[in-house]
Amino acid sequence: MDVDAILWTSLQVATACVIASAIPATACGWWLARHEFPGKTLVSAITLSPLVLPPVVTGYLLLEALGRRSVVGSFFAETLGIPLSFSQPAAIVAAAVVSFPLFVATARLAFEGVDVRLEGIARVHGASRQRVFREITLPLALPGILAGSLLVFARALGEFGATAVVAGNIPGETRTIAIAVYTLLEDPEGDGTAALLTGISLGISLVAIAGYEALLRRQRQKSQVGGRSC
Amino acid sequence: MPRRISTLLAIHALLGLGIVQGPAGCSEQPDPERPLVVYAAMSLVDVLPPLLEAWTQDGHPAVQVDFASTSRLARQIAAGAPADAFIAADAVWPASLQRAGHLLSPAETPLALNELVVIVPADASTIPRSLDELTRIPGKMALGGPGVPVGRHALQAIEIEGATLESWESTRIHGTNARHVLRLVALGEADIGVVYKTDAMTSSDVQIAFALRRPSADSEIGYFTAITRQSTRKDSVRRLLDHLAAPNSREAFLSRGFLPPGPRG
Repeated sequence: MDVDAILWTSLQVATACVIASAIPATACGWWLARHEFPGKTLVSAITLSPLVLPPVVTGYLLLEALGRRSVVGSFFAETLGIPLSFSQPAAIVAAAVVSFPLFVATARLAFEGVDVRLEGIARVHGASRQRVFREITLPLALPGILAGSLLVFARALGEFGATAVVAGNIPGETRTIAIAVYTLLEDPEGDGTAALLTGISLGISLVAIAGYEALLRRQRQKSQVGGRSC
Repeated sequence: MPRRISTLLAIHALLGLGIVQGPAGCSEQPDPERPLVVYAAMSLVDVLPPLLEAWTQDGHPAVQVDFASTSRLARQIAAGAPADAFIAADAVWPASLQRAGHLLSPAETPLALNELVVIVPADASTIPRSLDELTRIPGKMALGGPGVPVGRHALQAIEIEGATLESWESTRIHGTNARHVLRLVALGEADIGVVYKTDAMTSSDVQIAFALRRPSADSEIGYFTAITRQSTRKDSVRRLLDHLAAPNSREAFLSRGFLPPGPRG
């Protein structure tokens, strides 16, 4: 088994997953943090649902919705040339969907930690909503959002259930560390490589979680000090 | 407050130990009431249950059968899973488990034989009729992984014909077992798959494109049975395995497309 290819695939999928879900998750997080509206609980529940669904079930639903024979899936596969099942895009989508709740929750907490009075003051002094968001809200919430993206990166690296169902085991495209280890469990000579991949996986996760903690600490500082940015 | 917490923790630990010890303690004694546990290759998922049911109806113990790929079951047995018998889709896995001390000697004669076919989705527009034509069809191929018998048999059969799958390397989906490969083709996610003929016959969403030539006599695709060393019900299991190898049971295999064991005609 090509360990380099497996690592590269995992890193590609995890990175693409973070990039793809950054804006939607931040937007959702901001919306839920700053707005009250009828049905807010339902919306919040829907964004959190991948967290409580077994990932394999999420994968099954994705396969039904995006498989080659589905309406959406066949459009992407045939017209746009991007198959959304058993391909690397499928792995990215699976990881993104499964980790979406983590991203949204972290972003939401980050935005909720930003003092709305600061935004109010800026508005009173004539700043537009966009400028307030760009120059006050976002910079103050940024450590928290970055923390969320690290969490999502780590989660995407470890994602297995949904990926196995909708992206499958394709060497070089969707064979991530988790899928590789699972495959090696069926190989009589697989123990050595499995241990190596497990060690690498642990190492990356520890680094990611350490970064997450550090960023969370930064976020807390920014919220407590009343928003004085460094 | 600390004392209350430590009391709670102590109760928690005791409860946990109690829950774990209860069932674990019981499984050490041979219990004539407990069902026999058989681990069987996935491709036997349709043919075995009626045979096992008939055996139980005859006054024998109940049988609980777990179906999965031979390789996964073998790893579980090697890790100490509580199986009484193993029915593998090749002779390699039972032999390696026996060498490692997990199985008694496997049966010399397999229960039945099988053959490999190349399948395409039922609505496929192009149907390859030979291995050469295979490599000219774009798309994805579903194969069992290299450790899985259906995958290994397929690679061997293809190599024997002098062909390679190199042009398919990047779009090969590794299935976990024969039925998984079948499903990938049935769903249209894979354009081509290699499964056992008996699996192909169970799905109307696939069609058989062509059969792969059967390998030589010493690497036939056969279902070999073995009793696990740690089984506490060896006599019962032996009777069960004899029943499965009997001529009456052979009928059930043949009617589903399996081939009889024995000298090749």
